[in-house]
Amino acid sequence: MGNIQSILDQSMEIDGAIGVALADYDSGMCLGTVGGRQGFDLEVAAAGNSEVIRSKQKVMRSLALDDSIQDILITLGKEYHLMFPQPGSSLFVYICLSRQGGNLALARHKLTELLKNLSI
Amino acid sequence: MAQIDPETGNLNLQVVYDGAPQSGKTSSVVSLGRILECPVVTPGEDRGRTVYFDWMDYVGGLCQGRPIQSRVLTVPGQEEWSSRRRLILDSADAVLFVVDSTESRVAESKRRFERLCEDLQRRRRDIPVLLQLNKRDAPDALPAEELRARLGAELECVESVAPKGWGVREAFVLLVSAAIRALRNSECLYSHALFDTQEMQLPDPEKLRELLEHA
Repeated sequence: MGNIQSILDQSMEIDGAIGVALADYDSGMCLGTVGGRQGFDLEVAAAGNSEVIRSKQKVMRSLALDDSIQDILITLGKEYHLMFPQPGSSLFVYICLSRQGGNLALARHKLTELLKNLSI
Repeated sequence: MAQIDPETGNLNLQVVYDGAPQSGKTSSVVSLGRILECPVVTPGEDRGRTVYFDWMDYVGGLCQGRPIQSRVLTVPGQEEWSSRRRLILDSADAVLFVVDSTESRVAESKRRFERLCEDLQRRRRDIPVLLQLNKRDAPDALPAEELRARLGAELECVESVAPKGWGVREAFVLLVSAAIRALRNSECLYSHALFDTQEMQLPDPEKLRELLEHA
């Protein structure tokens, strides 16, 4: 059996984590979410950001870049929004971190490790 | 078949749950409905067995900026309703084949899976098919790899325990994802076919039930 809930729960333990979603970037649909805050719908956010990943992939194809996306970072005034695609699949982890309480390097490291163990 | 609703702008998809009788098709959709907070319509149930279909609509996700409206349908599992089953399969953009993981039901699942492949081939439907290996909590559940080998189905699969809701959302999302990828690959998403308003009126549960009544 899969371990999605466990991966999401462990992601929420990252310092400064506000909300985490595991989503599919082909459909923009979520397989699970944890956390969030009032007025911030993680399902909508993950769906919108799946278009960001697909757009970047399209650009990479246009440029004939023989590479893959390791992560995408969007820096807001108060938050970091990170997207981590799982290699070899269309799944990605989307995490929203507080800039005040979060450590970007540690978050990247932990998410990379967690994604290695993701199974469905 | 995938269509764009002219009123809402949604991309409408139909995904169909097939499988041997009592493999957990209805149970999966009911659990999915509970998780996604969507009502499931089941017309004409007969002593717990699906006679027509189960129906659920879910709007979620995005494709080319359009919200995706997924229509989830199950087929009746019993042999006597096979013509209804084929009619429902004809409208599918992707099929999830639900498999009872227990040893005693493998032969029946294999037979039904072969029939699904024949039906799709005969109708020249080149659509994605995924497996949902259900009843993984049964004491005599076969290992996933052995089950797939015995079915002769080297397809993407998700393990599940439908009544507990384990794995049903994952299977659904991967199914819709596969349907979207197939549409993109066929370049159908960029063609005018999806905008053909004549083909856009998908029936509601009552109209579909009436249609199947004569099948």
